[in-house]
Amino acid sequence: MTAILEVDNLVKKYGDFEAVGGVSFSVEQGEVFGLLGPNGAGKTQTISMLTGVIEPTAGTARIGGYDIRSQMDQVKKINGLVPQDLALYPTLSARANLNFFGRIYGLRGKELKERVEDVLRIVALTDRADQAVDKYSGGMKRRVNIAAGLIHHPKLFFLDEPTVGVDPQSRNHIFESVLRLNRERGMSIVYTSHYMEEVELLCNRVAIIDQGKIIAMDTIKNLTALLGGGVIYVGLARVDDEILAGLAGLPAVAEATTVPSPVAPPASEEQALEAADRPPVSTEALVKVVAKQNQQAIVNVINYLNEHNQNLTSLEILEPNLESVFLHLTGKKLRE
Amino acid sequence: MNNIYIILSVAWKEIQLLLRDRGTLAILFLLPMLIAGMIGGGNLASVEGEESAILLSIYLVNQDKADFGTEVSKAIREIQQLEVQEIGSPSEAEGQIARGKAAAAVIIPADFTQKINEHQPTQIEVIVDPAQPESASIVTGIMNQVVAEVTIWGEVQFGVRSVLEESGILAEASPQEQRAIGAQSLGVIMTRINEIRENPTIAVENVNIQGEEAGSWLALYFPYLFSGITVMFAFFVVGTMAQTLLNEREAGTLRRLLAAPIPRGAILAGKTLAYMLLVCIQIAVLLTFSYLAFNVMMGNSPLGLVLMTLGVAFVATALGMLVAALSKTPEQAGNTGTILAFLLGGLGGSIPLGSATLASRAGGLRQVLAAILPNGYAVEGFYRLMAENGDVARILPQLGVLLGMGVLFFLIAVWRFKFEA
Repeated sequence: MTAILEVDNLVKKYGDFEAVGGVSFSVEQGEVFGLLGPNGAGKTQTISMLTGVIEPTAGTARIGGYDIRSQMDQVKKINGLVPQDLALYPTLSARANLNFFGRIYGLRGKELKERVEDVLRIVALTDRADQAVDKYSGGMKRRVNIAAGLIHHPKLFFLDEPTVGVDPQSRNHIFESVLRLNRERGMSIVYTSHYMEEVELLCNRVAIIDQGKIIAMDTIKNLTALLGGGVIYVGLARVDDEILAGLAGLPAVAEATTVPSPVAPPASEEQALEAADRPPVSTEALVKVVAKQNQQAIVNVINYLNEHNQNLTSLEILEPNLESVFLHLTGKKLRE
Repeated sequence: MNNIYIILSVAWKEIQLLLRDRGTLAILFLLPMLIAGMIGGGNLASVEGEESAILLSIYLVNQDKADFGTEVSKAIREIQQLEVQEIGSPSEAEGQIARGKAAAAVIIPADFTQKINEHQPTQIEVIVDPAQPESASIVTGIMNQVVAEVTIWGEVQFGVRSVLEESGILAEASPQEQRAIGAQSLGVIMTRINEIRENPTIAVENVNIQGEEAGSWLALYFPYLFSGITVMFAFFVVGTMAQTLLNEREAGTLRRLLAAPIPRGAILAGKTLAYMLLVCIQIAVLLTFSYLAFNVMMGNSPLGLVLMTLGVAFVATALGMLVAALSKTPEQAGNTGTILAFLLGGLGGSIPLGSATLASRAGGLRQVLAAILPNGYAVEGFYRLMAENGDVARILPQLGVLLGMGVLFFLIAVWRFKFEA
C-alpha cells in the first residue's frame, strides 16, 4: 500500500494562538481515516490547509505525490471537500448547484451532465434534483453537500463533520454512501467527527486530536486496547495511598489513580439553598480504575471496599470505546 | 481560456441567483422607476398647471366708465389666473368677501380716469379676506402690474400735454384741435413704446444648445433629474454585491470554491462581471423608461452612453467589493452599502437638492463634494451626453476619473478582502 496523503508537522498559528500544533499522519490508498476530536480541536483547520483553503504557517504535506505548498493546483484536482457548513446556493436547485461546482472543475457538455447524474444517484436525489435546495430537509441538504464534493471524482475525499444536524435516516444514508465510495470506487477518505460512533463504524484508523495536537493514532482496536477491559470511575468519601495501592493490586485491575474533581461553577444563592436540602454527594475523591476485564474488576473493587469499610459514593463503568479512550487520554469528554 | 470559462461560470451562477432574488430586483429596477415617475410626473404637472390653473376668485367693482377704468377692468379680466366676477357696489363686494365668497375685491373709483388725466394721485382699492393673507399679496401684486401699464399711459399723456402747452403750439388751436393733436402725439409715442417692447433693441434670447428655443426648462432639467436618479440607484448595487460576497464566505460556498483548482481572482472577477451586467441593464432600463415616459433627450452619442454606463457599473461594483472587504458581516455590508448609496446620491449630486443646477457646476460645497465623489462625475457625464449633445471626447475626463476610482477601490478591496472569516 502507498500513502495518498502524508502530513508532516503541519502548523497553523493566528498570532500567538496555535490552532494546529504540528500534526503528522498519513493515509493509505483506499483507507478511511478518521480525525476524532471535540469542537475547536483543530480538525477543520487541518483539513483547510490540506485542501488549499488556508495557508499553513509551517510544515507541509504531500497528496498524491504533490506538495501542498508548491503544487496546490495539482493537489486540488485530486482532493474533494465536503465542508462542515452547507456550502450550497439555497435558492438554486440541486442540479444547478452541481452544474456550477462541476463547471469550476472544468467539466462541461456531456461529461458534466453525466457526472451530475452520477453523483445524484450516489446520494439518491435524482427524483428531486430540480427542486430548490432550500426546500429540502436537513438530511437531503447534507447529501447534496456531499454530492457537490464528488462531482469531479476526487481520489482523496475530505468529509468535515458531514452529519451535523442530520436525522438518523439521512445519517445512515450518508454512512452507506461513504462506505460504497470507499469499497466500490476505491476512494480514500478523511472523515472528521466528534461522534465516536461514526468514526468507529467507518474508519480503519483514527487520529485523536485535541488542542491542535494528535494525542493518539492507531486502529480502533489498538486504541481501545489502551484501556484494557475498560475504565471504572469510583467515587469515595475518603482515599489515601494505601487504598489506591490496594485497588491497583487487585487481580482484574491494571491501574488505579485519583482524578482531580472538576471545579464546579459558583452556585447561585438559590441553587445553594436547594443543595442544602439534598443529601450530600461526595466529590472528595474520584478514583479511576483501568480494568483488565471489566466485570471481574467491578466485583474485585466492591469487595475490596467492603472489606476495608470504605463508603462508595458513586460508580461509573465505561466500556472500552473511543469515547472512553478520549476521556482516558484528555480527562474530558468528546462533546464538552 | 479555462479561466475565462470559470469566470463566465461564476458570473452565470450569480445571474441565476439574482434572477431568483425578487426583492433585490424590485429595489434596483421598480423603485427607481417609481421615484423617477413620481418626480418627473410632478414636474410636468406643475408646468402644465402654470399655464391654465385659476389661482383666485375675485370681485370687480368698476365705478369709472371712462377710458382708464375700462382699460384696467379689461386688463384684469384677461389675467388667466383670476376668475373675475363684476359686482355693483363696494359695500356689496365687502359683504361677499366677509362671507368668504371670494379671496379679494378690486374697487376702481369713479374719478379714476379723471384724476389720471389731471395728473392727480388716485388709487385702486383692494379688499381682501383677512383669513387669506397670501391671497392679498397675490392680488396686490397682480394689480400693481395692471396699474403700472395705466400709469405709463397717464404719465405719457401728461408729458405730451405739458410739452405741447409749453411749446405754444396749442395756443391758437380750438379745443377740438387741441384734443386731436394731444391724442395723435400720444398715439405715436405709445405705438413706438409698444414696438420697442415687442422688438427690443437689446434682448436676451433663451435658446438651448441645439439652437431651438427652449419650450420649457424641463427639457434641460429632466436629463439631470433622470440621470441623477439612475446613477444613484446604480450605486444600490454596492450593498447587494457586498452582502452576497460575505454571505458566500459565511455560508461556506467560498470555502468550497477556494478548494477548487481556480484562481481566487476568477471568483471575484466572475462576481464583478455579473454585477456589472446587472448595473448596465439597470441603467439601460431606467434611461429607456425616462425616454419613453418623459421624452428625455438622450443626445447624439450612443457610444458615449454605453461607455458612461460601463464606467458607472465598474466603479459601483468595485465599491461593492471594497465595502465587502471592509465589513465583518453580510448585514453590516448590506447596511453600509445602502447608506453609501443615499449619501453618494445626496452629496455627489444625484439628487437635485433644491436646485436645478448640476452639483458639479453649482459652486461652493456642492461642487467640492461632486468633485470628490463618483456620482458627481457620473451625472455630469450623462448630462453632457443627454442635454448638451456631447460626444465621447466631451466625457473623457469623467470616464477617466470613474475608471481611476474603480481601479483604486478594486485594488484596495483585493488587498483587504479575507476569503476566510
